[in-house]
Amino acid sequence: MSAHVKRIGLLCAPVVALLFVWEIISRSAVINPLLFPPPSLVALALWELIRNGVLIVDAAVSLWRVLAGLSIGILLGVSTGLLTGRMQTLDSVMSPAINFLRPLPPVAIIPIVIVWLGIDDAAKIFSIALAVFFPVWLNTHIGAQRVVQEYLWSAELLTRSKFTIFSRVVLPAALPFIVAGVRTAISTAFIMVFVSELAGAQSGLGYRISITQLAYRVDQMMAGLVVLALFSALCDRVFTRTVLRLFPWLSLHQ
Amino acid sequence: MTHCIETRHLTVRRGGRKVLSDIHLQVSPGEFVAIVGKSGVGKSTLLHALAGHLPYSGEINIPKKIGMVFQQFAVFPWLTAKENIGFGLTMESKGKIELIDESLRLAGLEDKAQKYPAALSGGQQQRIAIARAIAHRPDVLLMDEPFGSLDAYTREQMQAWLLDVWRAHKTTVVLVTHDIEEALVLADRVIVLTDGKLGDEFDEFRPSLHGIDAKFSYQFLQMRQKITESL
Repeated sequence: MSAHVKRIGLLCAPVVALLFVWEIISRSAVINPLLFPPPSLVALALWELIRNGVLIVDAAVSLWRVLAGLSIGILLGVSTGLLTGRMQTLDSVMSPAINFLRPLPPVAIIPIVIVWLGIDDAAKIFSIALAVFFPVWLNTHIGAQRVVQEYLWSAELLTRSKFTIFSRVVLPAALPFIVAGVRTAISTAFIMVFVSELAGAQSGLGYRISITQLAYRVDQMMAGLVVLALFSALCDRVFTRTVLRLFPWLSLHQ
Repeated sequence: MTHCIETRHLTVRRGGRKVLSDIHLQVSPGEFVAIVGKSGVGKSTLLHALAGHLPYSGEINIPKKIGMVFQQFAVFPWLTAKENIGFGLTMESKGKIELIDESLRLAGLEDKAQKYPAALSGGQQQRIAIARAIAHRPDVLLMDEPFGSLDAYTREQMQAWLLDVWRAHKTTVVLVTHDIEEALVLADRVIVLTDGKLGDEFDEFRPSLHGIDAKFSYQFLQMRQKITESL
């Protein structure tokens, strides 16, 4: 057996075992199967939602909101984090305010965002971007602050260009921290899109799950959750793979 | 003779404590000077003051083009060996590509040009750091315990290599180390630093004249004994 097949086997075995036990428990009628449908019925519900096109539209809408919110939040978080991490004055001016807002649970802002921006895409994207900003800022800020002093001394003796030092030393030195921040941000973004679509939306996976709840279609709710979890895991995987491909030194360095 | 480096009444305080006190150091162009001392006597502080990293009182005259090599290599992990050596060399630099290739050859790492530092040994990483500093053709090379984190065998190899590089480029070098043998093997002049003050100087043993193998000579052992006593 090749190592690759063995690895896939080890990866799938616990999932298959879990699905099997779940199927047995649901079918044994120990628990009401309407409340706890077996995975085979969830799979059927998933297929039904895909076939009638509802799920594709909802998934696309949610994914668009997540990607837009993530992009804005990451862009702002990284740029602000680099600046506050390396510039004392900006750190003293901005960090206290950011640190004051940071502990606020991100979902707590959703009601006020609805009041401000309504229930359209803008509100969802804003909520996601705001929630994403904090972990990305914090990680980038710490990463930029902790650049090894010898790297900076070496760079300053080798070039006088502040831009070169910033782009070719500070930014890559902070990259492992930025990557950690973005990975946290990806899961936060999926939490935020789900909650914000529950609270007021006309489309999206969160919205789909909330209306199937009204119809007591637990199988469809679970199908929606499966898609949400898959997207979140897939996004994280695509991100880490892309990062390692673009910056192969990261895997060696770690 | 005009001095390449000259300090007068150099005093450095850190955290309210006087780490270096009234240092008068003169280094001639092309000279290889080693400062030896026990841990915590201010060896690294002296180098960082020379490099302009620390506030000081007194006077320091040193050329603007300084290269520096640290104990922890300080090669950038995100750049390949070739990119590390080319860091900071501007496009106007005369024959940038030739210079990088020459430095890679000097470091004996032509076949490792595309490797990242993490894929190289400690000795190879330090060769990159030294080659990178030399590529900029500095007037002065400051070395802070450059071989301190290498094993004994690699350290010896690196010392022989550094002597070859120095002979080829004749850069003025100030090396700080706690290793008396290393100081004697490499430097024209060894100066003892104790409690933030420069002490005895020893320049009778010159490896540039004797070669690295002279470390097995009676004269070398005598010198080592003398320096140990003055520490």
